[in-house]
Amino acid sequence: MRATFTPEQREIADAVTSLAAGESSSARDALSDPWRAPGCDGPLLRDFGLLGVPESAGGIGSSLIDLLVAVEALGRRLVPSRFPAHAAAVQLLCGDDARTDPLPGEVLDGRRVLTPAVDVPGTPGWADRVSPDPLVRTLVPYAAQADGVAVLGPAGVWIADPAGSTARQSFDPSVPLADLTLSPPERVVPAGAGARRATLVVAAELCGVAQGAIDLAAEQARTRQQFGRVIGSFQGVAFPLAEAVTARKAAWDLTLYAAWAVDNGRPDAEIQVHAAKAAAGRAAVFAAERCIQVHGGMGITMEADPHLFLRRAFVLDARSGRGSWHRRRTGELRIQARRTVPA
Amino acid sequence: MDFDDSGSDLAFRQEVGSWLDEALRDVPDQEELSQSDREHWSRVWQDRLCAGNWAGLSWPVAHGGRGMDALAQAIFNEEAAVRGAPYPLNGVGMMLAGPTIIAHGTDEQQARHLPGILRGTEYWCQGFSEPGSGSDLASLRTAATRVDGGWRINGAKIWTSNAHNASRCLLLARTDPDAPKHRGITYFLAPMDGFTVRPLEMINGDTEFNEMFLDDVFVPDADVLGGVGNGWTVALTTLAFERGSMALNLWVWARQAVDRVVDLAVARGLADDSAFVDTVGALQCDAEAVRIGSMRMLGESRAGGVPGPETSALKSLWAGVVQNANRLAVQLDEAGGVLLDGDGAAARMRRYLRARAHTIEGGTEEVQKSILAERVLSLPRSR
Repeated sequence: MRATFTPEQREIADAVTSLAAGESSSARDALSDPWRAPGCDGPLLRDFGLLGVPESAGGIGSSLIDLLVAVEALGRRLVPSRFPAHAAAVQLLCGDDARTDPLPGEVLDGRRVLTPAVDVPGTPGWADRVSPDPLVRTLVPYAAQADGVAVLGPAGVWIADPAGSTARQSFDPSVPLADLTLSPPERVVPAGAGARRATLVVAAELCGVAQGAIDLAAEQARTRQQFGRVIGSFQGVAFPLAEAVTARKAAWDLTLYAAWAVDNGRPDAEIQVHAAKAAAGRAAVFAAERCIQVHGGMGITMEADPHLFLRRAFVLDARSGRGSWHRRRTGELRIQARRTVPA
Repeated sequence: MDFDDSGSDLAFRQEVGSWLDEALRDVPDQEELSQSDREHWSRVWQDRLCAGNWAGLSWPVAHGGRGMDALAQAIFNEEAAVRGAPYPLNGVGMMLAGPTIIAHGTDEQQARHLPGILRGTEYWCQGFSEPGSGSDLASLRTAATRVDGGWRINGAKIWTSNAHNASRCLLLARTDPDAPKHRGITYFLAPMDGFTVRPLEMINGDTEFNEMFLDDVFVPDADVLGGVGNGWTVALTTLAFERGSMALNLWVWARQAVDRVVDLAVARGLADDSAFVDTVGALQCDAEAVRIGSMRMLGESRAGGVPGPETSALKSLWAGVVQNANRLAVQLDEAGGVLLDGDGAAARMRRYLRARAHTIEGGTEEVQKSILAERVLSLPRSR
């Protein structure tokens, strides 16, 4: 049926939602203690590693949307698992349709955890736009907790062991971030749609973060009483949350469509990916800010959870090309397309 | 999840496209026409739709339609909108009156009205809103009192598109002033003899809407639709068809609004300004979200689901894109658009002013947000 989730996609969402709901560790833990792998980290890496991996890269023909459905479910609960980063790294490596050799089995079954490196310090876009390659990357998640790095550069993609790694102070401590220095790669494979695929994994997590923030805000609006009424009965409270619903729906629809466009090699895939990432970042930051606002005074305390959504939203909005860069690329491509329209 | 047309949908789209290309061959660009010329072409277009057997595309075969589903109707509307086809002059008849009569009418009512709508000989308008009842439709006060053989109706209606061309009106009136407000309403298929119709001049100079005054208008019992006192339920059916049909090709208008402002900026050499590029990026995100969201809505409805409150999100996004794109186009004009004798400036201002209606008509922006708050977020009613 056109434009509906398959039964398998619904099952994936249910399975990951159950795993996330049973998770005892949270994004909050990392505020006081160093990041530790949550209990679901291993099962996710082991059992869901083939989602979205094309057959040419050793997959079983799962669509990119299958993976995004799983990642979105994790984003809702801010699960501090390495799975989304690992999945983005895998996607970065398997964007070349002409690829003939599968990815290593130990990567696909999660024994070797990878992390993506696609952002260059001081530039807003993907690393493949920066030439010559300065061989440094920033905003690399879980660098110290991964077994290798999937790197994007102007010549293509490769798996690296970084020559140097500097831990940075992450705004979201449940997502440790590092700067990496790299040696020139010995062998690079064409990136193809790798950057697009990896970016959509980030967009899907952002859509989940937005939904989680909306759910938390709505719960507060339904229960918190002032002036003898629950505050959600005031339009001044309710309407911004309705706007967050609209922005999040737009972002998720764009993300799903972009994934389909990339998987099917559509000519509009590029602009759709940029639009999805831009919209997802905006939706998540907006929802998290509204969530803080709805919580009133408690919303600006460390004790309440809304700031956790804001932290994750910011970190993801900045990764894989900043949201503002994706929005500008969307505008540039839209205008460029009209310039070439026959009169 | 697959966003392509299936084989049969694609074949239908091609059939529709070929017919439209031929039928639109002599039709001028509607954007450049005066209102009276637009209305002329709307009438011509309505006749062509009827002659081509498209008027009852999604009506059941048993009622003279082609028995196709909402997705097929969407494909037709999309293809027509993409080509800039005129609005059919009897949209209310085809999309609202016909389907509502099919859902709630007696055999006799169906036999009396449906053939005329399909032939294009019976034009309809929608008498719901009143000067005192806009968003709070159920508070309507037009009163119907029992007389021998029918009802005598007194009151006023407003925002009635096409009343000056219609012979029949989907009319809501209060038949029981003592009942709770949703219970005392009756739905009439009223002949418009005795209606006084007066055009309303809008802020852009157009007169597409009317006021209607009913002074002792007689409507026979045979024109009660769905039973006395049951009008609210029947009205909800019409409103559901209205929402459904509106959502079908909104995305095309959103895309065209963005196309127009980009083309204007390119022609003026203003398209490289970074603030403009960023704004276009944001508009493009929302415009595409309307298109994709519409596809998902139609997919759900073909899979047997009922379109949910998310429709309100689509309407809200669409209104925002069209309003913002049209404002931006005006602002690209000399002196910010206030010099109306500039090339094309008056038309752009007309479109901008018309777009202000998008957050008012078909459920205000505030009503859409209330629907999302109550039905998606489970917040209490705020009104």
